[in-house]
Amino acid sequence: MKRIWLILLGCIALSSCDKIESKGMYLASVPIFETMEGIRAKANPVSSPAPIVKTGKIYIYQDYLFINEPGKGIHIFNNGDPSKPQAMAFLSIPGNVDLAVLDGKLYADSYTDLLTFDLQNPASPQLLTRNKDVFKMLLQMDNFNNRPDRIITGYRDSLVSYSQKDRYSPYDRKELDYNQVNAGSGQGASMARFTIANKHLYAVDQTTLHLFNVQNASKPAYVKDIKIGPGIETIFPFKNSLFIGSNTGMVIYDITTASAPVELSRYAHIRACDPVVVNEKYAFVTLRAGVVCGGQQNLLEVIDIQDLTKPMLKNTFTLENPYGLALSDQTLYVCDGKSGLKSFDASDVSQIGNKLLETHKELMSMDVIAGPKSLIVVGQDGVHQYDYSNKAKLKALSVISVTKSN
Amino acid sequence: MLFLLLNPTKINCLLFPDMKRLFIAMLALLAAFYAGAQTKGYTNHNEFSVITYGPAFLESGFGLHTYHGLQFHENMSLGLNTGLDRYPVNGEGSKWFLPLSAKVNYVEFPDRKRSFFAGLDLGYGFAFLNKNISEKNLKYEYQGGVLVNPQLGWRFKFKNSAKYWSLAAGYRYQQYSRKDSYISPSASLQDTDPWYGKTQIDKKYDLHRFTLQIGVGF
Repeated sequence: MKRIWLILLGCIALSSCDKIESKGMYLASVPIFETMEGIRAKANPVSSPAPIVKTGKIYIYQDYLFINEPGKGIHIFNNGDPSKPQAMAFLSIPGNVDLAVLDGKLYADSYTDLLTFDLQNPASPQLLTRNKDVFKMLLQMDNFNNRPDRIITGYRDSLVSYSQKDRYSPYDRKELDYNQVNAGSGQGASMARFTIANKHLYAVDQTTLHLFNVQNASKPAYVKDIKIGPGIETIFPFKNSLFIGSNTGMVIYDITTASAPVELSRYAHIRACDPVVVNEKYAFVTLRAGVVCGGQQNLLEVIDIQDLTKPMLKNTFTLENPYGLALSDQTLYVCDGKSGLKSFDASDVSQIGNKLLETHKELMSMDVIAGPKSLIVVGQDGVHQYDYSNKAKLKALSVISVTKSN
Repeated sequence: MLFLLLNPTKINCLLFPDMKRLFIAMLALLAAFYAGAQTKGYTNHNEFSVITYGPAFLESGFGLHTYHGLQFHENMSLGLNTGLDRYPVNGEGSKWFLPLSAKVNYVEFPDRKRSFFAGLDLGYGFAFLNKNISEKNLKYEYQGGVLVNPQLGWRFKFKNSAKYWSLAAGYRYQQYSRKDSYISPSASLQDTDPWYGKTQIDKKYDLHRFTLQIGVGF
């Protein structure tokens, strides 16, 4: 009798536990996958002007202003009169982030592909060529992937039901719970940044420079890829040089032979995001600290590039939160994030940061282009144009405003 | 145990966080003592249980139970068992139950000084003692569930008395559920859990616990 008693007791003691069954529903952003084939098959680019929801890269060509809507396509404006820009068309290009124009041909990326459009009638650009699978690195779900067969074209909110069974006992060996939480942000898009120089199209993505020959402008020919290193962000051509900004420094290439860029030097700086502009003697680099870029400091650096093989830091000035910048003659325009648009007298580079000409504090700006007819500023609320014939005093001309999406 | 029963203020401090629970426990115990002495064939057993998972008494809770039964056979009695239970539930604090069960008690040798006994409870644990909380946009409700408690033990009679004290071990199964729902009381609070986006959760708990019981009865 006693033995049974003990056995029973032992059994009970060893089998004690809690079993918890959860069933529930949660709202989740579920990625919508598509194959590159599917995206290509559905391509139907030209449509009537559409409201701008988000602004990306801007580009001017002749009297036309191109505004990229990140991941969606390109808005085309007739900017003959900068005080009255006229919307002409919207070019729907899924996965598009950058563009460049040469000799009436528009080059734009669409996820992994490079598209070439004829701009003879800018209200209705015609697709001429599609170079397939040239950009292999895609930014998706905050990760990089190189699977063109599974492209995330968007997210939708879905109610997902789940059920889960847990067993708990303080005598169980504790195991770590891995709770995988995916932040549902970040539209799939190529990371390409474009520029055209010496009849070649240079496109950089996160790590690589993709080189295309556009001597036959309507049919870009892929030349080669050049590995540069991680964290590439911007590309700026000047004369026979190419300045590539990464989040750890600036790489200078000689492109006298356009099809075979030669690395001249690497200028390293602290880790930060860094748009670059260049004139004959100096490169101006803004370093922005932040979550995405890392880094602690917000700076404007002036780098002496008279000897392209030996770039040297000349001056450093503190800024608040600098994004893009533009140089026009002796005036440097800096988008200083929340501090607005600032203009500096750049005639003496050793004093540039101290010679503030003007601050437009109300203009939360990201990027600026010094165009032939106007200064074009990309702000949070839209694309602003200014008459900048008087360098010290900008005169507002027009605003192409952004439609807030909820 | 006896000290605790005789000194309600101590019980209040040590075991019960609020008066409602104390009141229920006291009422049950008083009823037991009052009714007990008079009825013939009536039997009573009051027990204190440690409700735990195993021999090392990790994460233990407790139960206070009072059984009132009628003898329908020399060795067997049938009656109602009620009281109060507290179960610690991993990561969710303590859950309180008011158990109400039918109990069968078997005593091997009712006349001997020392005897083996066995009991089986079948009933329901009411969960209303747990507050149904609504905080911000989350509301949750508890619902009680089935309760099963077999026990095996020994009882030892006091000298020259029908009264005895007992020592037993058992298995206690208690079921309950919790329903969480996220509602949107205002535009600033969404009808989902802000972190995981949950809209509703139904959780069913099956607590399988080991109990050790010490009691007095007549």
